[in-house]
Amino acid sequence: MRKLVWLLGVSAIAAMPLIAAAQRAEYPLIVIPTGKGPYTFPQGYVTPWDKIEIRVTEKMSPNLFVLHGSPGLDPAHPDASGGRAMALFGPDGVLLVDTENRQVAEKTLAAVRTFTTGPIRILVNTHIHPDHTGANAFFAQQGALIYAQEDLRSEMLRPPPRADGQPAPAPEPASVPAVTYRYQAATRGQPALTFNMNGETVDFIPMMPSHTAGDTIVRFRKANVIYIEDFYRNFGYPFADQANGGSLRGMVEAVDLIEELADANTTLIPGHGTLIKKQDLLPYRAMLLDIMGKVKALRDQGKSLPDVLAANLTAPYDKTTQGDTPQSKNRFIAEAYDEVKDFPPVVDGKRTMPRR
Amino acid sequence: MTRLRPLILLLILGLGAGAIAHGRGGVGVAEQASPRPPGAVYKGQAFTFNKITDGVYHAVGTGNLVVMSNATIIEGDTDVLVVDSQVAPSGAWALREELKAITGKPIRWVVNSHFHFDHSHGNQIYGPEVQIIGHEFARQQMLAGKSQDSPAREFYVGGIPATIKNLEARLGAATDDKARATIQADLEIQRTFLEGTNAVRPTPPTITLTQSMTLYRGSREIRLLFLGRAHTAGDIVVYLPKERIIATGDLLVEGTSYMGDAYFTEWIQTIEALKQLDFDTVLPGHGRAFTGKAKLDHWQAYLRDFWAQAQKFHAAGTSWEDAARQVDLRGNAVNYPGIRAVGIVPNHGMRRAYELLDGKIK
Repeated sequence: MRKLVWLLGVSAIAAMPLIAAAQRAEYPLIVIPTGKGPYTFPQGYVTPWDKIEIRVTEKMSPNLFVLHGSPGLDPAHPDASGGRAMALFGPDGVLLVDTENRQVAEKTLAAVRTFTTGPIRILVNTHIHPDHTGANAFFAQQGALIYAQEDLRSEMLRPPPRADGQPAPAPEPASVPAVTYRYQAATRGQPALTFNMNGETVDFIPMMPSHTAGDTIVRFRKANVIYIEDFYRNFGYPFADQANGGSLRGMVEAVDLIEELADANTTLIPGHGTLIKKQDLLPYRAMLLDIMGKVKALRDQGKSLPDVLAANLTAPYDKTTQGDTPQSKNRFIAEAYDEVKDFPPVVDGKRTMPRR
Repeated sequence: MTRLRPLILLLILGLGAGAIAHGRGGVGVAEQASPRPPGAVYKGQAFTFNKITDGVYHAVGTGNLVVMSNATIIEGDTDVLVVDSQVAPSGAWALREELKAITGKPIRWVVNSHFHFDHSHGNQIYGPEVQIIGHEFARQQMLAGKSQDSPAREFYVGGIPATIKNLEARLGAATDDKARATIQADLEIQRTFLEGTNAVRPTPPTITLTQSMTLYRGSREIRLLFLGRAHTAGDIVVYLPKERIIATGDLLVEGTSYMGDAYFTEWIQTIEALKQLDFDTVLPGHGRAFTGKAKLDHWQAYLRDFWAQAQKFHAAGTSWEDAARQVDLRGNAVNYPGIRAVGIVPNHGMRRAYELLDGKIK
């Protein structure tokens, strides 16, 4: 009997590291996987915002959750509506990374309220797009202070003209970031600001002009997580918002910086698509460079954009690229084409792109 | 006694010129007073709020409570930013209470100009609704206990018990009623000072920066700038470009600044960077507000003089203690009338210079 007790004791001690390992391995926890598609939407389809739900889709630690929208309803993001948002919560209140679209602001707050009653104190915008900043004003009214790169603020205050050439409307004042910082090449990769709250250390790392000129990635040191927003994507082809200062070249630089900042186990959270590790960046980077090189070769030969589009350069990648649509690949090719020559410079976070 | 002299001087002068108390009934009038921290007991006002422009004030201690450093108050459209949190929770609490007479807006931002005890040891009164911002170096120093266990704090605060004993002895010996009343008042101030500093739990900034950030609060633009190592390795300057005002902490003060954590040559460069900013008014961490850029030149000249002499003493093999006794800074007396004798007190600046010259500090 005594021997049995002893054995049980030894086995309990032996099991302890396993339990600890199991607790660590629990994260990231995928609660609701993103949709795989394929998705088709009829002509004239209008996004039914009332049907879109915002839910906790991934848990990165006991107090760091990811929010995302329903699949199959939002043609802009069919795998999951909106962009990913993150919430760090605890006794110091809530820190949000990005908001969902304006249309689902209340639902986003309701989703946060399923796991915390804490006040929303900090909101950081990773880039300007409405699926990441659409509910800024709503959360500012909840008490959040909005942080972002100075260039994002400039982009928001002086938006590029609309596609039809008309001036874009002025932003709601409450939606404009209240606190800003800048990217500086000399301190590339270093946090502009570091927040110490709820047992986490959170770095806001300003990025070089990449997806836009005002990108920020957000690192959670303890959870070993980096929110890498939209310069990487694995649903649809790469997209650089050139009018807001982005470039495909800059996105390659951004990928290279993540190579330096992340370790093999760091979970990288893109704004869309599935969670990845840094090894998953390699084929993406290779594709960017391959396409950019091929497009340049054709343009250097004097080919027009329609010629280059007709060459179907993405064909080798179509099978492995989820969310592949003609629109997505044509946009990618056109951007690569525009970057080959006469690519306008970034001024105040914006680039005056030629109109087609 | 030489150790006590600066302390008593601080008490009498309240570390600044603000001897004009408003006398509006003390802190008891505050309706929504938060719990009064230990030592937050005093007569009249603890601060004089010198209005610099609309919504910008330089809060200077009156001497009724030992606060040891000035605060700069910047009102935005919905909230208030305060530069520095004084020497103890008592001082920070007094500031917050007295500020209610000036604005109904809440303090939502506190900036620690640097990690020293007299600028950061009131942080603990602010809850998670307040963003406490400092340089990353300031946070690391405070986490390592360097704001509490420092030669500077020992020099300026360590002597309080002795000061109290001294005052008690003088009180016992005094016969004249008026003299007794004065000593009694000083004694009360010393006792609350001790009580206040004993209640300190060093609380580092929750948000840190290493370069710069800008706050937009309505029409108010507030820039927090790190311009280089100087008074410490993490001094933040608060700059209001539209109002042409800077708050400098101890990077630039009315008189001479403490040099025990200084980087002398870089300090001269950092002042040079400061000159590039467009400003008219300087709100220092100690002393009175002043205008113009002449004091930037004065302080650079002082630092150059001190550093050159320190290098000579060091090269000659003089001990740092002797060098501190022999250094002759009287050439700067035209700008700093307080300099009357040879030598420097406290001698921490010379020890620091030697540590830098010996390569002990990078």
